[in-house]
Amino acid sequence: MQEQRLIEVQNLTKIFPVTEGFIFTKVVAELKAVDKISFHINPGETLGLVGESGCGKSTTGKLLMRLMEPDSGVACYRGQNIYEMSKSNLLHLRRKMQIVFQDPFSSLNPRKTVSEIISYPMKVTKTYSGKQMKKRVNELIRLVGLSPHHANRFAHQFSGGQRQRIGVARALAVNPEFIVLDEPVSALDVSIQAQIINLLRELQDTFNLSYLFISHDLNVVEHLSNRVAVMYLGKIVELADRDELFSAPKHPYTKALLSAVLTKDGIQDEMILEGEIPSPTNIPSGCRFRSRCPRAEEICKDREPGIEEKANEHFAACHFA
Amino acid sequence: MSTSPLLEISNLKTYFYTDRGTVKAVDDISFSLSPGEVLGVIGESGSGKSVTALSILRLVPDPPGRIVEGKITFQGENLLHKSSQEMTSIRGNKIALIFQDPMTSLDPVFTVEDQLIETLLVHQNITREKARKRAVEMLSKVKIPNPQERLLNYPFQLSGGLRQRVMMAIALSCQPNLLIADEPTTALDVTIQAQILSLLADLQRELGMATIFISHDFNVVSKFADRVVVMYAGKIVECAEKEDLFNHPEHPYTRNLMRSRPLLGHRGKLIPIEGSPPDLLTPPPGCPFAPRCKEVVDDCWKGLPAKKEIARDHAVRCIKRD
Repeated sequence: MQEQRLIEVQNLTKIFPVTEGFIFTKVVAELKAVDKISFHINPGETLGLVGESGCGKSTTGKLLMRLMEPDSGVACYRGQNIYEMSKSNLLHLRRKMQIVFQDPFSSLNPRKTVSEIISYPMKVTKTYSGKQMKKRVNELIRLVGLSPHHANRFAHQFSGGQRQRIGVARALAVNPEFIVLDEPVSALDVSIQAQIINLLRELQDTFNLSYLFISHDLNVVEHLSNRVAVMYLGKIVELADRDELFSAPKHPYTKALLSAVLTKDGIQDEMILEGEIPSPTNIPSGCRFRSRCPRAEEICKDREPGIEEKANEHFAACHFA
Repeated sequence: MSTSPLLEISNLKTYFYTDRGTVKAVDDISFSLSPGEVLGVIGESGSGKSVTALSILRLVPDPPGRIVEGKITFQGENLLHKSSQEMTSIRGNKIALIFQDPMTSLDPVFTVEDQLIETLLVHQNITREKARKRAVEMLSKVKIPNPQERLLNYPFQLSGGLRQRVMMAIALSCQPNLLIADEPTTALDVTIQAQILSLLADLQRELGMATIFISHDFNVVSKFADRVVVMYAGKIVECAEKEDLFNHPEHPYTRNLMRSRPLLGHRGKLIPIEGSPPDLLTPPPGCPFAPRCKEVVDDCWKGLPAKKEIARDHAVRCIKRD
């Protein structure tokens, strides 16, 4: 594809210092939340990012939004490194990139009305003002499936699903091209999840949006993504086209994740991993998955497998894949 | 079934009297459980699943909650007529409970050993030394590596998966006849969830206790249960053998709920259930699902549909099913 990539991430790394002490704090360990990951997202595409808690998927989302600074690596938006942008350019970027958070209860200010919440990004980025802004707010409210009389209510007067609609409306307010969706349906009841998933799909079709869809739920990721990346302890261990990944997974971790999932034809044979997820402050040597991997051998201890293209556009980090 | 049921709940009503009005959290539900059977209870938040569990153990916070009516017969005796002392000797002993959240259901200031032994000393006439031995046994039974060392740990030193294993060890230590597992894997990661579920299934088979397995997740329930009850807004809307329920769901809520979940390999648009579950302070008249139901007719608003047995062991509350 010669089309320009919308997002291009290379060797992105984020290390959190683990400190001890209260006044005289000292760094006792390093937590590599995101460890040299690379991927790209094409215009109009959804990249699913799957992994268990602590694997660095939310940190990746925040790094992409530049809500935190990385320790090394680059992330480019249409070829521009977002970490080298000036403040005014960054503000311009925020019109193009938005984020929807997992918890619709804590991500909306309880003291603001819906219309204040939705219009805030427009004020900050100075995209709309006055009458136009009001018109836009009403348009957005209708777009996400709420009714206009909701505009002057407060967030606590809404159910979880409705709140998430407000969160989506806020993200859409400035006409972004790209939205990071950080577990947008995980906090919702099953019967409500489908409403939000359908809404996200419709909006994507209408506005040609690109998504980074972060989730631990493989069913949801499969439903929404074009390509899928699987993360384990800060690294991407597998990345492939959706159909390819779900029909022919190469990494043992992906296989284990998939085996725990309900398919159209019922439940598959389960592959149950032994042991616990290691602490990200104490990552195993060599392959970080080896402590739980059913296929682990000597080589896995000595040498960390790099992420390599094992089949067409199908990347995996495993010595045996 | 010829054996008498281990647990029989009939017409149970548990209401909460709040400042804003009465919440009928559990409203006239009946079901029974044979010895050794696994019953799955499916429902969304607020459907009354957990209140049902708390009612069986008589742990409903009073006030504001109260069991208003009904009978909970366990091993032939009505639990609602038991004194609080008698209930104490049943709880944790004959009926054990595993909560959803292993982070908050263990006491942070006591070690694993303290919490395991406490249960044993309260319910069984054994010495501290014997209890300690039994505690180690239980920890290895739930497959915790190095059980001797783990006994000395505090809950914060354990991962979520290990804490849930400790919870299971405590719950199973007195060999209960009935285990109630309230969303035991919801707070855990996918791969850890698979571990805990398979462990729970193994132990259930080995120890043979009847189990009530509460979850919002069809996936999890389908792996584990013999029979499934579907709850909506405090009522049981459908009840059937697992295979039957998953292959031939009859209640519109059950059907829609299954269709609204993305399944691997299914690419079509999801069919969501419109609207949201009713506010139990102002429930709709008649069928609680009527406001969201696509098959709704006028009669749905006139009263709660009666329970109908549409096939063997398959009951549903919907006036459109005969």
